[in-house]
Amino acid sequence: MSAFEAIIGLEVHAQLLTRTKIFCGCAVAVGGPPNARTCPVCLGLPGALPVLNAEVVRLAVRAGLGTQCAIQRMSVFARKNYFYPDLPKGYQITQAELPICLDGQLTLDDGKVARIQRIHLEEDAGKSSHGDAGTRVDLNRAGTPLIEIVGHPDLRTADEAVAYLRELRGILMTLGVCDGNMEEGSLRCDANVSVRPVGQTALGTRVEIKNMNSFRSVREAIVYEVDRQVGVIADGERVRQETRLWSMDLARTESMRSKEEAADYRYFPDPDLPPLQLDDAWLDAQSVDLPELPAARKIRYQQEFSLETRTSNWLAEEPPRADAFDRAIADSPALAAAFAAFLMTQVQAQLQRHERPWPELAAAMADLLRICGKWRAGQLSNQMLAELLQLAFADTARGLADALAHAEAQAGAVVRDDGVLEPVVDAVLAKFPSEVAKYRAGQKQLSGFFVGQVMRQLAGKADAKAISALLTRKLDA
Amino acid sequence: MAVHVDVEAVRQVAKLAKLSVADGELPDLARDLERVLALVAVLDEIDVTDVAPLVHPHEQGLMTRPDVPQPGLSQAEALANAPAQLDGCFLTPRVIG
Repeated sequence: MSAFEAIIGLEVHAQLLTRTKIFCGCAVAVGGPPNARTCPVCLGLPGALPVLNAEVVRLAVRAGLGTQCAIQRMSVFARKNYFYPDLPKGYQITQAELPICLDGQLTLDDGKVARIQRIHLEEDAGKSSHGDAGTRVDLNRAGTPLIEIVGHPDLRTADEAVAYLRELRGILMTLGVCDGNMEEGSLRCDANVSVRPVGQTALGTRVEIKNMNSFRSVREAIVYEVDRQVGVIADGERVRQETRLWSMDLARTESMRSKEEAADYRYFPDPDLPPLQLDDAWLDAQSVDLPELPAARKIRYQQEFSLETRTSNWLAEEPPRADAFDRAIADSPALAAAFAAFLMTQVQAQLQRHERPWPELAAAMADLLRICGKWRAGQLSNQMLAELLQLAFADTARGLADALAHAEAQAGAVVRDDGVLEPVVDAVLAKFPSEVAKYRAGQKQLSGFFVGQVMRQLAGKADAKAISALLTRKLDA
Repeated sequence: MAVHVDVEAVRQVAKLAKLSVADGELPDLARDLERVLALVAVLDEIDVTDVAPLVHPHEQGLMTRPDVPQPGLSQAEALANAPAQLDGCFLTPRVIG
């Protein structure tokens, strides 16, 4: 059944990093008691009128500039009409025919270009929770500013979809447009998925998948859905146009509503809001202070620090991590490549075992760099380093920076003094006379065995290079 | 220009607007809507070939406000007119997600 190809397009909602809602001065925040951040505008009370937040426009334009969109000098807010308890006005204010940004693109790590159709501004709805007593509605979130980034169906695999989402997220975070938190829903992704026989140009019936709140769920949901659709066609049936919800627990998509009774939203320009007009001088000013975007950062890491592609991509795709890295290595650029690899392997492994909040890790970057430097200089053996990290990351009684300093003191100094090493080396050579003979007969690879034996005698706390040098002197003498 | 509105179209519009309309009222409403649309259709006679589209009558563009929080309503004030409430939330008849 491999004669099918998938056609995938993503619709991404990003919550803008503003202090207040899009059309009123209510604060935007997470948590707190329900319905405590509302006013007549976001409650949809009669006579209340929306006034656009200027910061929302600035952030949407930054998102457009970061994705190479054409910023529109005029865009228009429209009403999308539907009834739902968490939508107090009976319509959502969004942008329909004339959005603020058009025709952008993203370049994925493998060089593939994925086009962006449009970016438009809109308000979020409130939150509903359904229980036996009825549906409870909290309108704290109502009116939270969002941009929706609508991609063309240019993606062909779940991996490409994830790469697109990562690239987009990195750009939005770097520009300060969105915090990129998928678990908390400040970045939400829907996928339109269809399949068609390879070689066919007409598109198959598309299914919209919702409720994917991590990169992993995006990948798994798309893989599942493509298999499901190919299976439906293989059974001689037709794929139904519908919306399906991804369930991480059940590891499958489930039908939510059929598009046969397709919603008719009756969009029309919102009479409360005249067209949004941007002038050239203001727009020009927006493009001058754009920071280095992830794609450029990856290339800089490769060129300036000779980082491997895998390492540079990993580092740059999480902008706060890359920022902390940049600050840490500013004074010791020679360590950059080793430090990046150290973060991606040893530190990452510890993070998978012990959860440490990001701010703690960011605050400990200088300590991690110092420890990495000592390890590279042979002042910590591999085993000492592993033990030190394990001890520090498990030490939740202390902040990570303190825990690292404490574990570092515990680790002590590596043994590299010939006066200490020599008796141990002599004892090992005396214990394995036949190996010594073989080595001298030409089996030089046995030197690793001798280093290991000496290291074991010293509980792993010796400098392998010093042992090796001493062994060479004795054996090759 | 004649615009035809059938009973089904009225039923659909009523459904979208969440209005209950008795079957017996549908033919009269269809006729009324047809007349309203015919009135508006007079505009189709105007040649707008060289006229830029107008989305809003105001000449002035949209005004914006700074991103500064303003005091709003308390939870009690927000819920004051709610026919039903529970745990600080508006309570509505259960809707299926």
